[in-house]
Amino acid sequence: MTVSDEELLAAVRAGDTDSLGTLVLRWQEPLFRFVYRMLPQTEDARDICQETFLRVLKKAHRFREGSRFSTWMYQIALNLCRDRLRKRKRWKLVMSERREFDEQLATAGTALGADDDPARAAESREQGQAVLRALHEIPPEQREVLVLKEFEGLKFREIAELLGCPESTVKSRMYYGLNGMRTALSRRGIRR
Amino acid sequence: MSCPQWNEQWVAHLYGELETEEAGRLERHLETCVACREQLERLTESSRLLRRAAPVVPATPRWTVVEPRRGLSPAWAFVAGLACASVMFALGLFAAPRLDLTAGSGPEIATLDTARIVEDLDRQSAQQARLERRLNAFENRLGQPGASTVSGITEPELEARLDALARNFEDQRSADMRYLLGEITATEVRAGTWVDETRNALRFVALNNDPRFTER
Repeated sequence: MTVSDEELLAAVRAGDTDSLGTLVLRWQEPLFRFVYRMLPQTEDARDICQETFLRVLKKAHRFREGSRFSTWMYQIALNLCRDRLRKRKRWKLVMSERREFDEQLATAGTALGADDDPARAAESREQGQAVLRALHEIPPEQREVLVLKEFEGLKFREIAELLGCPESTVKSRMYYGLNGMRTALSRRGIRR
Repeated sequence: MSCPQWNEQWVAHLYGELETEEAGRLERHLETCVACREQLERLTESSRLLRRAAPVVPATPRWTVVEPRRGLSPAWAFVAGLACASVMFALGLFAAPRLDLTAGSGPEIATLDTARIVEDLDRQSAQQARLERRLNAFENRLGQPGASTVSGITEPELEARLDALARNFEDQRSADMRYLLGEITATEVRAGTWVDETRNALRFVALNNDPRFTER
């Protein structure tokens, strides 16, 4: 019988670090996938995943009974992502050049699989890159909702729980986020 | 212009999360409102484009758990081991060019001093936090209107100082990573096996076409 995340965390609180190892094995892939989609760099995603698991260990005593471990873990990771994005924005003031989300841009538009026609494949990639750039132009609170909804497939109720805001707020951010993306794409000449 | 009272319902409808009764009301409204129909089409298109653009996520990095050293708190040993092991790949990007991956003999066998490494990590974190506070202070001054005039420092001078701080921060971070990787590769947790895994991991990093590693 599978031990629940909450039971494993209770064991961690009691000093059983093997249970943390089990949690890491169980959640490392979905967590990395989530963080990678919030940030454009593999190295940053690795750092944040590592820091998230470390904080889970250090703050296990603060976990509220009755809460869901996954929501708590994602909240920790999300806060770390936000901190990293704020720092990156600040570095832009003093650094003349930074490679922004090159990795994601390189694979944008390939999610639907290979296209036999090279011209269409190239067009698909260019469009994908334009979409990802547009995604990073909208406000971060809207971008978070779009990523969680479109890339992670969470329900609005789950996103609301993760972000700690009402479901209506999540839907509103989704609505304005999609509109904002459309405006950004129109500026780039991407229209239906 | 579409009817704003339906804004939240659009997205719920788009992802099939609308209650049946409400979905029925929305459908009836769409039958009569052209502006709302067009808005729903635009939202659907944006959603479709975004889904198509989903980037491919690379393989999840491997996490390694180090066995606790006798006499050391298992929690701290795990923290130190997880911190040291899991940053190996990232640290390798900075330190690997300085290591000879083809050398024949390995480092001397020693016990991993996790307590000392954790102390060093804490000290380095504190140094980075101090740099961060200085940077915050500069940024706050930069953000205030007329601040540079009042303090007698021009904006270019402030920017130059920020630039210097940023370089200092990055140099410190690079030095921290080189130090940590040097510590990890200089000791051995399991006789033979750990050294091989470390070298294989670094060799893997070396073979990736990452310009930061391949530059000499």
